[in-house]
Amino acid sequence: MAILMENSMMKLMLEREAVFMEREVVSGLSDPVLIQKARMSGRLMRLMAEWVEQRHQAMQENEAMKQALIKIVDVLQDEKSLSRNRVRNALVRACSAKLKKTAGADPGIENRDLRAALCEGIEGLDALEGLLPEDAASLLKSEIHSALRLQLDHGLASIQRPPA
Amino acid sequence: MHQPSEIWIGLERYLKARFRERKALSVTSLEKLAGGISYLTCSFEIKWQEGRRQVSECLVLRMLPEVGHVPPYDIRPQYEAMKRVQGTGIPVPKMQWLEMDESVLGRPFFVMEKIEGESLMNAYRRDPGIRVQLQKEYVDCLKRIHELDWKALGLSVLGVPQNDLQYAENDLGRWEGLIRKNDYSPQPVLSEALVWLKRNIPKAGRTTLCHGDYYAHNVFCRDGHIVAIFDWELVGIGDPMNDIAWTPMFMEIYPGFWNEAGFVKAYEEASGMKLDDESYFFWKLLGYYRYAAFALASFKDGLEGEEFDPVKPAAQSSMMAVALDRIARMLKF
Repeated sequence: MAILMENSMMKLMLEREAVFMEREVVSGLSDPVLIQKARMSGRLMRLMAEWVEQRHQAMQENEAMKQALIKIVDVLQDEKSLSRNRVRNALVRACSAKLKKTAGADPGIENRDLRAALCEGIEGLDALEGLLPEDAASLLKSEIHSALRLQLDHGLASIQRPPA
Repeated sequence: MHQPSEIWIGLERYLKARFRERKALSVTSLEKLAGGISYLTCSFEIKWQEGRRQVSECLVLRMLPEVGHVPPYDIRPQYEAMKRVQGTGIPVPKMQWLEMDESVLGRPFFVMEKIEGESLMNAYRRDPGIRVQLQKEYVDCLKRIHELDWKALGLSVLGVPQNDLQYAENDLGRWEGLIRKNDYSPQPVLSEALVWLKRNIPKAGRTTLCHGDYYAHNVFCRDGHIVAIFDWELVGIGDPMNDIAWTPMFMEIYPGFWNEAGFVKAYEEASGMKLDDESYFFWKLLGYYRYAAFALASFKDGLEGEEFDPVKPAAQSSMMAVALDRIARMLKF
């Protein structure tokens, strides 16, 4: 949580510094080379702010995907009637392995790997259709969709945002 | 061979051999035409002497890509389809010839007449007064494609589905394959879509000629009327709902020309048929799934293609975000 707040503040600070550079600093300069350098610095800060925002979003998405994957593992492991089912066992192993692998990774890489794990999870659960109790299947769907909705909202927000 | 200068040299040599009777034959004004992430399309002018008179003809060359991102590639179906629908009332450029010998230009190609005009999108934006007429012609063209006697035209060469599920299954399989091939950016939303699509394949109500990529950017206009339908590379024999559900998707993405409700109503009135809602839903969802597959392939093309295009990845990210969101909303999450 602290890291997420830190990212938000960092983005805000970078954007404010970019505005300061582009307006206050540039207006006080007369040398064209320095003006260009100041503008470039402002632009770089905006790009860094975007990067921080994307990293922040990746971390939020990663948390949501991990929750969904943990839920998949928990529900499947609790379902004793499926203890000998190959698809269920393979899915539990795959999700657990991915959760372990991504721990501590760069948020961007973790995001990609977790999305791949979620793809496997969705297709694996489909193969178990009818074998899981309805309420369990419904709960997992809800967790997965919640994680996906966050990604979708981030995706839409990024295309509506003006470029740096 | 993919640079215009290389094509020009090979093309002129080829045409001189093909048309030995044409004196002083030359190829000029060869220009790569923009658009698409697959086939290479170039316009050119061929000039020669007939007595004292110089004759010229403007043509278009369409060639298989060197490295395509939307396989499989076979140039014959689009050539055969456009050639066979000529004279049926469907506006298509006149096909000149098909060359399958790869030693000529490095890859198979065909040549067709050049049609002067502009895309439908540009036409109605430039002159909003012609929009209603274009809407009428737009739906009429599609209806005519679906009403063609494809058997009598010999279009069975495109391959005929063995049952009323096969066309949809094959189409879904194609886009699934493309997404799996471009798995550099896994998309769980597409996995959800795939699960739903596989479980809900509808039976084809009709089996007709299908354009496969019918939307405003592939329709050419001149003087307020449709004069050509291009880009038949996804043509096939199958469920016309593929075309009917594909085109309104672009009306939403590129608004202004028409809307989904208006188009569907017009098609039903023109064809005298009520569209099946479930089938329409399936093909519309598959349409967004396909759109996402294109975005993934195109993104990679922009980054790794022959000419690095920094704008393409950004544009295709937008495509992807929109497609994914629409899929999620259709599946209600």
